[in-house]
Amino acid sequence: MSAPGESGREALNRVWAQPRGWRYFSEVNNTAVGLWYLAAGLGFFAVAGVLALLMRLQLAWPWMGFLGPEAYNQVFTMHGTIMMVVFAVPIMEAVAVYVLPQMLGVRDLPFPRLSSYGFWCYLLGGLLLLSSFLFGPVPNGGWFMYTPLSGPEYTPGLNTDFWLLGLTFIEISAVAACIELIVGIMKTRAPGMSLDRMPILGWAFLTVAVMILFAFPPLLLGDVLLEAERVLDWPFFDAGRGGDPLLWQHLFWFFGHPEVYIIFLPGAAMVSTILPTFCGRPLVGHQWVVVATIATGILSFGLWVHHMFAAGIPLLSLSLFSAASMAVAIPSGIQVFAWLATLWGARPRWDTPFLFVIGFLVIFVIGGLTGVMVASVPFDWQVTDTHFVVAHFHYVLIGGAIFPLFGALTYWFPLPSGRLMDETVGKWSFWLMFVGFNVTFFPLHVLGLLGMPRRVYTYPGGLGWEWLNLTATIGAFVLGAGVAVFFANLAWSWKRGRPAGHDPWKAGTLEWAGPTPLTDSGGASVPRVRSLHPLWDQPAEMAAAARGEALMCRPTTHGRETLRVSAVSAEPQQVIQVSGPGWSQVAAAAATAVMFGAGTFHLWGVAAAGGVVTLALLTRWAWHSDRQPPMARVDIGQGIVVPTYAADHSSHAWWAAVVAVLFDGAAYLALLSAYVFLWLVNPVWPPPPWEGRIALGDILAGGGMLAVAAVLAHAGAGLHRRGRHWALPAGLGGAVAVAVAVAWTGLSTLTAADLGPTRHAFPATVWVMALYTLVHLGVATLLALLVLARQAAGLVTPVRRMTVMMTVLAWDFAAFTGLASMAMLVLWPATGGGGGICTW
Amino acid sequence: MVSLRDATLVVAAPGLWFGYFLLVYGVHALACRFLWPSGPVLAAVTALTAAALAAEAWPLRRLARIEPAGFYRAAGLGLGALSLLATLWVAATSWMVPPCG
Repeated sequence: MSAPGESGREALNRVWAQPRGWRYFSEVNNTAVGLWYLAAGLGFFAVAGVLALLMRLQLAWPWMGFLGPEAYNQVFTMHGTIMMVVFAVPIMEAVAVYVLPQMLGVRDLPFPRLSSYGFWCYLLGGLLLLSSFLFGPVPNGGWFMYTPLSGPEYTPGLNTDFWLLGLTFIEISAVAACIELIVGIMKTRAPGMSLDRMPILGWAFLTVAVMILFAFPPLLLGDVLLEAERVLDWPFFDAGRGGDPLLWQHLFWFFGHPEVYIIFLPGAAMVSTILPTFCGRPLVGHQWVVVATIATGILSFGLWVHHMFAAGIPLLSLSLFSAASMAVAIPSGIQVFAWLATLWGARPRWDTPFLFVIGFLVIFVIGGLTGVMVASVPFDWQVTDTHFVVAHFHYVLIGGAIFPLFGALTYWFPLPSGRLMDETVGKWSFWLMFVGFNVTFFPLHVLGLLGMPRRVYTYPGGLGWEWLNLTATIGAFVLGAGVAVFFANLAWSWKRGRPAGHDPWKAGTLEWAGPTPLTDSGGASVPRVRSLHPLWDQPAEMAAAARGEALMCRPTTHGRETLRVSAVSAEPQQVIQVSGPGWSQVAAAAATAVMFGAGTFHLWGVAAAGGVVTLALLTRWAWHSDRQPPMARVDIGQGIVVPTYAADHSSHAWWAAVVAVLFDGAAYLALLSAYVFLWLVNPVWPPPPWEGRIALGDILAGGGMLAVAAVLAHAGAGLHRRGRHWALPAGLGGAVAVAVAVAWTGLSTLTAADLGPTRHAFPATVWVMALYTLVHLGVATLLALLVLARQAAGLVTPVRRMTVMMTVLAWDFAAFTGLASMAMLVLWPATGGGGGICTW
Repeated sequence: MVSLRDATLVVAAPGLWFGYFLLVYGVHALACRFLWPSGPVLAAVTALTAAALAAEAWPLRRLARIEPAGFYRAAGLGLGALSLLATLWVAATSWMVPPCG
């Protein structure tokens, strides 16, 4: 709402103004957070690049003594980990956080504080991982951290723990980004931007966010199990006590392979964005590129075992995953043909972003072809663990991600800076990178075919490997010089580049609708979209929107706000009030870092204190959520009136809760899969000491109580919605009481059954399943207490009840997964003819 | 107007393929553990998946009436065709290779 005499634009500038000075870092808006993400990501990329140069120096000539074997192990582990986990995935999230709101035509994504929390966790996690260089125990087990090498027996120091620490933070930031992107893309777009009018970049990030939703939970579970094995001696991966090292490989690669596509799909979408602009025509086969993007995303989940072809798995498994690995070439091929068709007959402008796109096409196609080669099991057996594989995945990842990313950074540089990067220097950086890259990595194909293994710190002379290695090292420094020139251009052009003006590339998508640099509010008004390329097809309407003559041209609820629309057709549904600057997300991230950092050093008291502070800060955060502005409905312009609050299944908050539960559910499915896997590899499951140790009646009673708790929560929420205020404390209070009883009886039963978790993988897995349920009952209990406190403070009413809906969802999930775990324990071993843990 | 349910239907086919893929992998693992014959189960699962993919494509016809541009229908049919291809591709593998070698 504007102050008297204040124009709409002045009011927008006031509510969206970024804090100045050191308070700038309390900002949560995507235009600030996205830039920080990008800067941090590029910083980590530079560190990992220097590590790569150290490796190439060491391998330049036989018997080099520049790095010893231990240092080499540390350097290649950190290079891989930083590049894959700390740089590649987060930098794509960074592009999404920065560019998507502009491209989708909205002022902000729905959960800016969550994005900011994700960023601070990411930054602290990356720095903690790097701090291992200061403290000494640098991770040294490879970026995949295979067991048993990474287990307590072979890596007794903190090396693996630092790796797990870094990954924990990346997982937190990935979950935050996944929720923000799925809900943001589905629920906050410009009116009229139905899914068929959504740019490819939106589709790619939607696909990628869904992939994160299902790919990261198995890694999260693997991390928990590995840390439990290292700290508590629970033998999930110890073959001598019923575990299996291959379990780690399955969990890791179920994340690790889709991760390649999590990195590649946004890169491909950047190409699909830049190419049409420079060709001056729409992307040929837009819908087929959408199809290919979705198909690639889902197919990528059926490929994980191709990283384990040499691990000794059954023949049919090899064949199944080989077939799936080849099949993924089809959707990738569709995209390549769409790009070639767009290029066909066009007269493109050969500016730097376009050069990077062409570089991508050349390099990625070569990487794709060698990908089909290594998808063939006999060929893979020959080249596995050789430099051929190193060459292949660098062609795919640098070609598929770095070249498009650098092209995209050049392309979108005017948005934050208002300037263009220097074209001559840009072309120099491209050619140095392109030539340097190929001189580095093409010889590695030959080295691999000659038999040079990867992950060796040196090699003897006389094998014909010398000049190829020397060539690769020279190429690496040329590539490094290209990257350095690019960074210098970035820094120089930020202040001194040529002013970009309006839409410098003559693009068709919405991020170029306003002036450059972007204003804090993201635009004077929100346009109505009627085309896939609104700037090409609706120039007059876009110009009017840039003048502030479309929707939401002034704040209507006293604060920062964005528009929620229907998921498919993008019709306006609600004005959402979003968070403004504050420090709670920074403090919560710092407390989270203290909790996990101290835990890594086994400082349990400090870790517990960090945990309590984290919980307190998150509770405070939750307390101030579910806001209901005083005005029930507002006019957003052109006669459109929408509500300012909604607590139903179309709400963005509900969608976020569902996405979070799906993530949690995927982790739970991974846990059940781990249980089944261990059952398969053990000849007897459960082992004789634990057969018939628990009475069936005890399990049935526990299951019954869980169901009662969920029913009580539902009943309380349902009656409260009908105006019976007393029902909420009665229902949720009853559920909490039952949960306490379940926890008590469950722990008593497991203790009485003598399920010592260090003795065998079976009791360890049973304990993890039980603790999973207990933790979720604990979360549901905390949410119930929060809701009751909010009700007492007048913040929960039969209308304002989103937190109630979320709490009931938490009870449902805790009860469902608890019941599923009990059913698994009772029924699964019995189907295999074993005795089972229960006495019937 | 295209509903969220329609849009979900459009992207359902690759999900069906993924379910099929995991099922084949799981059936094979169980069959090898207990020395069950997996052929009939795999044949039934493949036939069911192919039928499900065909059945999933049928309601997409409705989209032609409510969506003149044809985006969702084409995307749904494209994903269905790719999924069917991937299903048959995986099925062929499981017929040609001895399961427990």
